[in-house]
Amino acid sequence: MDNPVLQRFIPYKIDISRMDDPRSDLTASQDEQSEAPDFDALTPPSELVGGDRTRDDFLDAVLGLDAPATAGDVADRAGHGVDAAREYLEWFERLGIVTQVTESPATYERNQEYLNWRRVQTLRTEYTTDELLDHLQTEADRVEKFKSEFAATSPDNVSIASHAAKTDRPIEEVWERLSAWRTARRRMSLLERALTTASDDTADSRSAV
Amino acid sequence: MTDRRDEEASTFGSGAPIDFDRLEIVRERLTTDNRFRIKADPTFAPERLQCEYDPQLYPGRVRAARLEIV
Repeated sequence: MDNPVLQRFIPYKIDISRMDDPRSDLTASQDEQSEAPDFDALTPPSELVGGDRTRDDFLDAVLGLDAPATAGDVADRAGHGVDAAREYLEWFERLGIVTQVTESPATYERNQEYLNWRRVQTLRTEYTTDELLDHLQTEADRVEKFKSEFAATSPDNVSIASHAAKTDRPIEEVWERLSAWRTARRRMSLLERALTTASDDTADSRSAV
Repeated sequence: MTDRRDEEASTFGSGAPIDFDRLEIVRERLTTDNRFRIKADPTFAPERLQCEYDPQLYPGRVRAARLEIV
């Protein structure tokens, strides 16, 4: 893929530049072609994934990092210059959005604690306590099912290859199930934090009365 | 107390959790477009984005067009 801004959203350098033509029975008829939508009126993909401001592009770029990256890497992902990348990275570091990993060359990674904090705040503002409890129950139920499925208390205690061989399942399938288990655990952790913070606030407001 | 940072780092390459922070960024951007509507499940921490294209963009014989981002 040539467009670095689009590539920002495509992990593992997946090539999406080539697409097969649709089957003949799915192509537009002559009549339909004459009444085709105005595709040119659609927002081009590169504009769609770009922010309105340079700051948005850099924020997207650093929040999508899954490994330490240099200012040059971030500049490529944001579609802007290296000097601007250095300035934004220093600013983001002061805000706690990224943390510096190495000095020379300077590399940065996204601060997962910041993202967790931001999501907890969102959970608190967009959901009621009852809704948070419902979500927590759903995720807790999923975790219990995974424990039963793998006969283990934690995904850390499961060997993917051994479990796949023992249960005659594809390794990829076992990997995906473990991923889902870890995802459920992470959701539980965030929901519990949101509920705990909400409870603390309630206690504070009560004691202040 | 478990160090969440260490816990998450140790999961890399062994069934790491869904990166719903990254999916959230994609959702924020794509939501502004009117060529499709986006469904995320669960909404508060999605494990996939389903982008349902506007059927008017496709020939009548195409029942649905969907881009899934996982």
